[in-house]
Amino acid sequence: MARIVDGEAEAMDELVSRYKDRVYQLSVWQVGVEHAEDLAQEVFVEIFRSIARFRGESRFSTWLVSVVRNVGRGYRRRLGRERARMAPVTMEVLEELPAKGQDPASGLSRGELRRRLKQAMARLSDEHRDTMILREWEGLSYQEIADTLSIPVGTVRSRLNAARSHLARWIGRRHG
Amino acid sequence: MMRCHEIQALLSEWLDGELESSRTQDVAAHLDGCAECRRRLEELAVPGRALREMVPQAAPPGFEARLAARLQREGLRGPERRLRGLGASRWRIAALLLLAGVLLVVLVLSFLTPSSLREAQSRLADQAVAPPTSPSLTGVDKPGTVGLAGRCSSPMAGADCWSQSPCSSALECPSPQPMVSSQEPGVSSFESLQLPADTPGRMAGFEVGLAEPELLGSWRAGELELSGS
Repeated sequence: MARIVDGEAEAMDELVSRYKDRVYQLSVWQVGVEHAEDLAQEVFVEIFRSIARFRGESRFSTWLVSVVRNVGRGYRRRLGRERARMAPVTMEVLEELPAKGQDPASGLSRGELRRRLKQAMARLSDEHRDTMILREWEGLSYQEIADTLSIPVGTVRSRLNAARSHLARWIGRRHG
Repeated sequence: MMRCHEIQALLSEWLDGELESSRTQDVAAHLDGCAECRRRLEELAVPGRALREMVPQAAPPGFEARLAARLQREGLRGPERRLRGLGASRWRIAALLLLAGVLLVVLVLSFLTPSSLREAQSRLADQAVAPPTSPSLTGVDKPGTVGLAGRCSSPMAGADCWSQSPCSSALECPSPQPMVSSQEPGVSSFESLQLPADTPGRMAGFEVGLAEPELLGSWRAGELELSGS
């Protein structure tokens, strides 16, 4: 971290290389493919501006989710689009990995499942998406998520419940 | 016995292993006997599982190079950033040193100023050419001192004025030599003129005015009328 604070190019490249795809994916969900690279760059600019304030109390990847959320919020405000992330979803260039069999629970091919999941994640509200990411990507407990987002544990519980219900419905297995 | 909708409201927590232990048994028992709730549990498990297995969408080719250029432009990468990084503490030190320097200068000036002014005043007084007027004495400061201002006809107006002709003939300067603060050529003012204890007319809190040279004699003789101030 000290090397990054000092602006050492090699250390910064290393960090960018490690997290660029994750930041880019989060950016796509925030503002869509059209603006994702610009937002992702802004996120890294903000990271390098404020990295001295990162105290290591949380994992860096968790802190990164917060930075993407905050920078993305400002970015969307500047764009002046309330639902900026919605429009590009239909045009999203989805990574089509070779489908390897079917997901037994959804009955969808894995490729189709990934495609639908990405679209569904883009439709989620910021609050629900961030909570899901902190839970499923970062593996944080409810208490850790509550601390990270400064919300009560009960809110974490209800957000995850709602997020899973929305995603399950949008992915295709409509619950009757 | 819990109903299906009550159980389904707890399935998200069940999946995360965050359900209270007191309810865990109820949910487990219900799931054993309810196919509908088991199906719902499977549905809710799909997004999380897919998300965990998901490979993030790759950033476009050239992303890193474009970002590096942007960071460079914004001074966040390379030597400039290094300076800035160091700066966090060093700028603070530099600012403190600057402040200390300014304070030192102010302090030194505050010591130097009075003597400098006195020197400047002396120079002005030395250079001044006094118009021929009658001397006058004004001003009182505190017990034992009398403030004086003299308008002197001597070409050497100033501190020496009082010891030079013609002023010296009219008024002998008491000892010690008075301080001069002249504002214009030919005018000498004395901030504080220490008068001997036995000086006639020495009084506290009075103003002495001698408009005419002949009154000086009276002043010397202690016969001068002093007006209270």
